[in-house]
Amino acid sequence: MLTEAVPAVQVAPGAAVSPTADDILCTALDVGEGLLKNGATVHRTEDTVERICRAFGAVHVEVFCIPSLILAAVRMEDGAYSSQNRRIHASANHFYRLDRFNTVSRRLCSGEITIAQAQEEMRAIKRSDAYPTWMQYLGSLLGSGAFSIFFGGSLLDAISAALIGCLIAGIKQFLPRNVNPLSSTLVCAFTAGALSMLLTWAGLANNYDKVMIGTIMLLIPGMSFGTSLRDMLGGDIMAGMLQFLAAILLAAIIAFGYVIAIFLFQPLL
Amino acid sequence: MEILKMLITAFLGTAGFSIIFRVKLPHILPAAFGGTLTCAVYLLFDEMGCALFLSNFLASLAAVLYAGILAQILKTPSTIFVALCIIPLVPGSGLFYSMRYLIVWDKELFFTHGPNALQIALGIAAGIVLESAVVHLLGLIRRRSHTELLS
Repeated sequence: MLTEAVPAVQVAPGAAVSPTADDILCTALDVGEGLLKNGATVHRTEDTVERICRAFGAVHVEVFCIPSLILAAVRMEDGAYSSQNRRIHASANHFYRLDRFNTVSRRLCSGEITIAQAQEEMRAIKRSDAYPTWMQYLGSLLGSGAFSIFFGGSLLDAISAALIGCLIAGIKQFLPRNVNPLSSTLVCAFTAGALSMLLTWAGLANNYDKVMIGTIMLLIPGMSFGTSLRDMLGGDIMAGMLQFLAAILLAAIIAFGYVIAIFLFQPLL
Repeated sequence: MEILKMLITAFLGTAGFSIIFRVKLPHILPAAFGGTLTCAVYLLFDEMGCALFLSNFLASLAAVLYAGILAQILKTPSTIFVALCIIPLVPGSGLFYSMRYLIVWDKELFFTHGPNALQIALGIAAGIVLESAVVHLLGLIRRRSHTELLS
């Protein structure tokens, strides 16, 4: 009856409230940032941010992504609107974290986890790593040593390359966080070049060329060139061009570092 | 013998890079095998006399196919495996020599190594681009057939 009191809906304190447009976009961008910073392509990042927004009911999503910036705007069904950006300063291939961010994205979209849970998971990911630090040295050792032989070096060359590879891993480990990636690469390249020359002069390597080539493999961006062309041909000229130029610039700087070392130490040999 | 040496070092090198890129332990072996496979495909077409671009293009295609299959089986983004499998193709020596002879300006040597490195890089890129185009096309076809079924 009309006079019957309608019992109020009991909402437990801290119960899940429907996420706002800001929350949704913020979370989507957190995931996108996590992907981009850890080695995902621009294309995949845009796709992921859009998917997450749509999974939470957005009717209109616009995402623009280049390697150093993600811009996104979202409009929800009820007209709520949010526009946010993220600036990405540096990225590195960290596939363990990439995989975990990808899983977060998948579970968010399928509804397996809430936004709050996703946020917590992402906080945990940022602190996590697949292997202890010393494994990095092992990987660098193996990478530069093996490729020294691959490109025609002798066993002695490979051992020198492996040692220098370890050192490069050490340099990368101990450089401060916010150093310009090009500067750190230049330092690594020059150090590798200088040590290659010195080790050859000391008789611990046969051919400084091959030692350098082994170590250069650690510094070259393998895929950037390919994905940049793919992005350009896929219609995203801006992102593709930026990546393309970045790849060329990086290659030039690496070469520069080695060549300076050769110039300086050539008189010894 | 030379070929065996290249295949073994491709395997070890790719394994090393898998560790650097922090790939999960169970994924390292398939990734390293992928690198070896890519190298083998390249060597095969190189021995047959194909141009640098073509050999690298076909090897890159093989890498992308293999990575795609692995990605489906292991439920991981294929980007990871593509990046790893392609590493043995990347012209480390080409880049090194061409840049060195560019800066020193040794005309003959630069024009030997420079265009080679470029061909290789373009071959790798072409493989990646083609795969992406094919996947995109397949996605369109699948969506088209879905809407046709529904209508």
